[in-house]
This record gives sequence, C-alpha cells and structure tokens, in this order.
Amino acid sequence: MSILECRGLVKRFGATPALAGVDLTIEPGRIVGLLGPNGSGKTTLIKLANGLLVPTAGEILVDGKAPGRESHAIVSYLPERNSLPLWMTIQQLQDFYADFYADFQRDRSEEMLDRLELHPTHKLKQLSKGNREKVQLILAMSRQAKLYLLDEPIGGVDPAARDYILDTIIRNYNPEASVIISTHLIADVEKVLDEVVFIDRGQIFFQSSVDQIREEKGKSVDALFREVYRC
Amino acid sequence: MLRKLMKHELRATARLMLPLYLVVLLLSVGARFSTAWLDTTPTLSPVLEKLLNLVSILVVMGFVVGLIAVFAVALVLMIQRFRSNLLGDEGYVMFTLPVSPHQLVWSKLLISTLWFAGAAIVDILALLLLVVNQSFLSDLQELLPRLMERFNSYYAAHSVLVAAEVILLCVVVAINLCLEFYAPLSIGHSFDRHKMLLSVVFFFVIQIASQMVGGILLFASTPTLDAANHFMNTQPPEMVLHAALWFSILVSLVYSAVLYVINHVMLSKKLNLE
Repeated sequence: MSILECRGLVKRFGATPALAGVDLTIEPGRIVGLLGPNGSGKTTLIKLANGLLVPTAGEILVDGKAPGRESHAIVSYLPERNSLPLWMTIQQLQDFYADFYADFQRDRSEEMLDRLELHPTHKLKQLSKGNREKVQLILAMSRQAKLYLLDEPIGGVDPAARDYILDTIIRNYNPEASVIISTHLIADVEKVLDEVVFIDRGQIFFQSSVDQIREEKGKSVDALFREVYRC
Repeated sequence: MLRKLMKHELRATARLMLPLYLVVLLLSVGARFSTAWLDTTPTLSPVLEKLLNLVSILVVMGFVVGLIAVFAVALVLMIQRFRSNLLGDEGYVMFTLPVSPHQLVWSKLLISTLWFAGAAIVDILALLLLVVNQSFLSDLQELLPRLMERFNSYYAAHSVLVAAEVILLCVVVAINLCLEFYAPLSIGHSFDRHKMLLSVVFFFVIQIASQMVGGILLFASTPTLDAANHFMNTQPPEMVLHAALWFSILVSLVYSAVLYVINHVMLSKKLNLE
C-alpha cells in the first residue's frame, strides 16, 4: 500500500486555486523531493496531508486513511515556520513529544541536540531563528515515523548545519519509512533524494527517480529544475 | 490523552495564573494593614503621614483591581490560549498530535474552568484575609450555634443539595462562557482572510441569535406561565429554588451543546490553518 496517495486533489483559497487536481502516489521507503517555485502548492499539499487544511475536492490518503488521529501517530511533520511554543524549554518540548508520540526516541534527540550544541534547559525564545528550526527538526527526526513530511527543513539554517541536518535525515530515518522534503534549495538536498516530484501552479507535471533523470536526461536535478522553471 | 493534554495546558497557563493568585492574596494582606493604618490617629510627621496614606490608598485600590483582574485575566487567557494554541501557528503542532479535536477542546474547557474556579476561591480567601479579625470570629462563634438550631435535617439536606446545584450551575456557566468565545473564533478562523474581524462579527451574531431564540422560546412558553405560577404558589420555597436551579442548568447545557457542535464541526470539517 502506498504511504501517500492523492486523487484529483483540489484546494482553493477563495477563487484562487492552490492545488488544481493533484494525482500522486508515494511508495514506502523513498526519500522524495517535492520541488517547485514559491507559491506552487508544496506547503498546501503537505498541510492537506496533515489535516491542517480540508480539501475542496478529491481526496488525500495517508497509509490508506484520511488524515486524522490515526495518521498523526505515524506521520512526523516539520512545518515551514516555527510552531513550537516559545516559552517552553527544549527539555519541556522533549517531554511533550515523549508524552504524545510512542515512537519518540529521547536518546536520539539528546544526541542531536548535543551535536548541534543546543542545551536542553534553554527556552525556545532565547534561541536564534535558525536554532529554533534546528530544534524543531531534531524533534521531528527523533520519531520512528512511517512518513516524514518536512516543509523547507533547511531554509533558515546555515550551510554547515545543513549538511549535518541532511546527514541526520539519512541516518535517522527508518528504511521502510518515506520522507517527503519540500524545498527550493535543490542543490543542497539533491544528494539525499531517491525521487523528485515537480509541482507548479498547483499541478504535478513531472515525477521521476533521480537516477532516471541523470541517466535519461544527463543532468542533475538542480540543472533540470533551473531549465524547467526558467523565468 | 486528555489527561496529557490537560497536564500541558495546565503547565502553559499556571505560569501566569499562579503568580497572579499570589499577588492578589498578598495585596489582600497589604490592604488589611492599609485599612488599619488609615483608621489610626496620626502620630507621625504630616509629610510622612500623607505619604503613608497615599501608599495605603494605592494598596487598597490595587487590591480591588486585583479582585477583578483575577477573573479578567482568566477570561483573556482562556480566549488567547484557544486562539494562539489551536488556531495560530501552534495549531500546526496541536492538530498534528494523535488526539481528537474533542480532546483538544475539552482540555482547554476544563483547564479554563479550573482557573475560573480558582479565581473565585482566591477572591473569597482574599476577602476573608481582609475582614477576619477577633470580633469577626467571636461574631461567627455566636452566630453559628443559633444557625445550627434552626438547621434541622430537612433544611440541611436541601442546603447541601442547593450548594451542589449552584456549583454545578457555575461549572456549566463557565463552560458555556468558554464556548461562547470558542465557537465564533473557530468560525472566523475558517475563512481565508480577516479571521479575527470575522470572529468578532460572529461573536455578536451568535449573541444576537441566542437572544432572539431565547425571546421566541419565552414567548412560545407563555401558555405554560400559569402552570409555572401555580407551581411556585403551591410548592415550598426550597422546591421552587431547586426547580429554578435545574432549569438554569438545563438551559445552559442546551446552549453549550449547540455551541460545542458548531465549534466541533468547524475544527474537524473546516479547519483552515493557512
């Protein structure tokens, strides 16, 4: 069974279509790049998969079920901006995750925090924007989820931390799980991707494995993206 | 999961409410000393006298403001927690937890009710701290036996029942108050734009609609007024009091249920966390 499936998925905000009939299937065990320019519908698609938005038409299924309580237990979501309460310390956030997610691995989060020199007693509001993003990503990646939905996971962090974060994604995810990374920083994420999905104006117009792109088109994903989305 | 949600909600709100409770209790002690000071005959220099009088008046005023603020802050916190924790950016975390929207809403309802109850207890304690003295205690010592004489088992049973009914009514009214804000916030935030403005508009729409429905129901129940009058005239006063309390509880419960359903539908079918 596919881990994520969209059938004729439509989402409109007023008269503006954010997604205009998306059909997409993501199989387990893949690291997928959801690539597209700003406003192409990447974040909307991820929010629909999390049940934070309701489709205007069509359907979206996570592990065969509509987004809800059951799917939340198997999906680890990283929003595109900080959504953690700023008054909480990192330790309190770890407690929070451990309380609600049976698959949260505290030792894994502690190891990553230590590596990125983030102290558990620090409150989130004491941290820089980049460090808050790191904490949020660490918490998301410390779960043993079936599907990781990462919306711009490296957008706000420095290049040195980017490499560590991408390594973390590779090292920490369960090989049977899938990771969907939405980003426009393609050159940075390309090395970790198995598959890419190109989205523009709310429609998916290209889905392929990274190896296939390199073999058939003789290009990197970054080069193909620049060619496709040339202004 | 509800217990865990309540634990975290309590942790998030206690950091504001507990210090506030403490401030009100300290102010009541301060107000007690201040009123005692204001009653004394002056023995100090006029300048110091005036200064201490001013401080005492300010402390008493602060105490009065504190008594009101403890409820006002509980109310604002109840609204703010629902808006920011569920319908703001923090909603990304809360609505992706493996819990149901029912559990999310109930955790907020119960903890808000707890803070309202705490505010009432703190205000009563603060007033007692202000007035309890030797003469108050001796008056009470005198009054209690006389009260107990009149308090036979029949009245005792009814009093306990009335107290329980009043507490139940207070809890239902507190939950109703929360839902009167939650429902319009959920409706307003289901729109793509002007979420807060629309929330305010829907707050007034719901208030006006509930007044109209209440008026219509009152008008429709005119034929039963005679029966109600007959009940009041023929039944003992304690039975009339029970009936009035249960009627109020029932009306509040029905109104709360309507608001709860509206709120639940908006959060589960129309969630719009852009």
